[in-house]
Amino acid sequence: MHILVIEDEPKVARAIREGLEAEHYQVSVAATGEEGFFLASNQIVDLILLDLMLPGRSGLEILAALRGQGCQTPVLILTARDAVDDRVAGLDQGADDYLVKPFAFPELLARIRALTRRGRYEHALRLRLADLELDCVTRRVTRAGQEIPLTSREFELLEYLLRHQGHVVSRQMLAQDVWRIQDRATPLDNVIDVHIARLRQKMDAPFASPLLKTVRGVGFVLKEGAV
Amino acid sequence: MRRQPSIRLRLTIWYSTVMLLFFCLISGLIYVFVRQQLDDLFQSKLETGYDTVATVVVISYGDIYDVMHLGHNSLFRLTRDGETVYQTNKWKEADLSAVVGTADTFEQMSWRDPADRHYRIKSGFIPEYNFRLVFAQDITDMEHILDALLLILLAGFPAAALLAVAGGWFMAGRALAPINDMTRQARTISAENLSERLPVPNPRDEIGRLAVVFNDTLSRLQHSFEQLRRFTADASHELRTPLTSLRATGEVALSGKVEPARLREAIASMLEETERLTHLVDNLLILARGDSGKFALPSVRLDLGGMVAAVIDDLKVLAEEKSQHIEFRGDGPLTVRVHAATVRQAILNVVHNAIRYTPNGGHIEVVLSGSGDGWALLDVRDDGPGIPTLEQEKVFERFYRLDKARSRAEGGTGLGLSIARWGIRTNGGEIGFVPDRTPGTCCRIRLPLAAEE
Repeated sequence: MHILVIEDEPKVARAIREGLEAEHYQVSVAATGEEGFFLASNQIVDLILLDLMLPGRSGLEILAALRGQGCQTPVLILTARDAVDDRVAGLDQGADDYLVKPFAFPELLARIRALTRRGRYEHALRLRLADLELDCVTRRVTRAGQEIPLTSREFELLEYLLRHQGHVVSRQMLAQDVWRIQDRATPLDNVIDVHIARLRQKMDAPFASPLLKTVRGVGFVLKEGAV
Repeated sequence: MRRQPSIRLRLTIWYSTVMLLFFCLISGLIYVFVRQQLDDLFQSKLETGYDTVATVVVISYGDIYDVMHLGHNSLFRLTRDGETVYQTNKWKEADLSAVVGTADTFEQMSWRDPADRHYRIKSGFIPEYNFRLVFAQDITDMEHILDALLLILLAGFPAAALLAVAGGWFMAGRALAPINDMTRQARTISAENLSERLPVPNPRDEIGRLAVVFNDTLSRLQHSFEQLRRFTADASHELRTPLTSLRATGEVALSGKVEPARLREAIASMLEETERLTHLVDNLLILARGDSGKFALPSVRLDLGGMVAAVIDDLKVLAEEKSQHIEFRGDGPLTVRVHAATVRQAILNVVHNAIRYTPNGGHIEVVLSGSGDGWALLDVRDDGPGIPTLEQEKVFERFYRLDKARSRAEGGTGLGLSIARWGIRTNGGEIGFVPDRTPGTCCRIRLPLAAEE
């Protein structure tokens, strides 16, 4: 899996490169729009992360040029501009997704996964992790054969965590995907923390090995063993 | 653009023009009147002279001896059948016979001789004795008087003009002096001494009213300046605190004397501060965009009750954590036309605040009702410690906090109510605290109900 990062800010570019390489992606970095356009047209890449404010040609121009010559590579825009108009402009030019800086790295990873698995059917109806089992049809959750009663919000939360098992999930991703709050300024962090605490109380407390872990400063992860 | 002359100059020009027009009018009237009077006077002298001579001729039965007595100062001539019977010395001197001749073709005429003397001449027939009488009146004096009058009036014009201009300039200066004083004083007021005010000598006259209005503007300006100054101070504090902690944590972690477990701790703490900063910047951006006023918010019709219920549903867990009882009552569907995200955020901030500042075990009551005159009223009441009346407006100011230490520990940015107020006002509503109960507070949001479709 080869990802092209078009980003002029060296520190941001380096952080993204290291983060992606740690996840075993192959990464190329372009610091200007022209270089990015050249790499994107001449190399086979699976995904492009595109900054909008670039020296030389702007990100939107690059995107329009790429789409104009028939390039189908998924493009994820990374930008500090979060006004609705900017998002619309980006998506209208042919971007596949839009992420506002500063972003949580787990969210970037989740979106990359979502973009690269497009088209693949992945709606498993029964999700499992160790002895925890969640049935999307009957909406029942069991651990070690023991039924765990959950409220509907807790169920949705657990389902989301299970679908991202092994990957860290940020509070912002939860606010957006489970609570469906689009704007970032809404302070739902406390609410999310309370729900996580309750979920943990129900599914981890009675059992020997905890599955739901907090990654301080980042978010939560559902996995076996240590973080 | 053409430069406008000063008000003083314009006033002077207007004043002088009006004064001079008035002067010309009066002068003209005087001249016409005096000329008419003099004309009448000399005409009557002519007629009286003629009549006297004619009467004397008649009562002395055509004898001209009696007439001769009249001849010293008058000019007349008596003819019979074209022959001169008698003429006075003055008539002869003026050589008027050459002008009149012996014809009797006129009743009255006017003659100006080469020496510039002017005569008015009346001619008539005395049938009883077949005399023709021609009587002349020298009216040169009348013309001299009129010429002198005209000269006086014309000579008076420049004097009057000078007087009008000087008087106008002086009076305009007197009238404008307080304004000049105000200008001078206003010029000395700048951002450094905004607390100074203009003196108001008489608040009821025009200048006094201007000074009062100006002082009001200064007060508002001073208030805005103070708000801005406080905001800048608060914002730099709020932004620098997490930056300081970020930097310090990073530097300590890099110093090399830290064990790996502590490193993870340091990074986690830095991420938390980053999260705080992100949240703060997001909030500030919302307000900055609101301030810039270029916010095209697409509005939709929605049931306010449903939105409030959803917000409370989201926040209920926080109240449960604090063993608070939160209750929502609403009568009927209330449809509003608003931008959903901003209004939702405003309601969420207000309810979140109520939960945050109400102690454990408290009660929060959210009541939605129609006002009956086109407004939806949303009251969020709590039985917490309440907000002192004096502070009830200030809590909507940015970064204003009742209890600085506690509120920061509770995770607030100090911007929640500012954002709520902006969001509600942008949607045509109003938000504020209403006196309702003690202890506790009642925050009321008013939103206009949507028109029927």
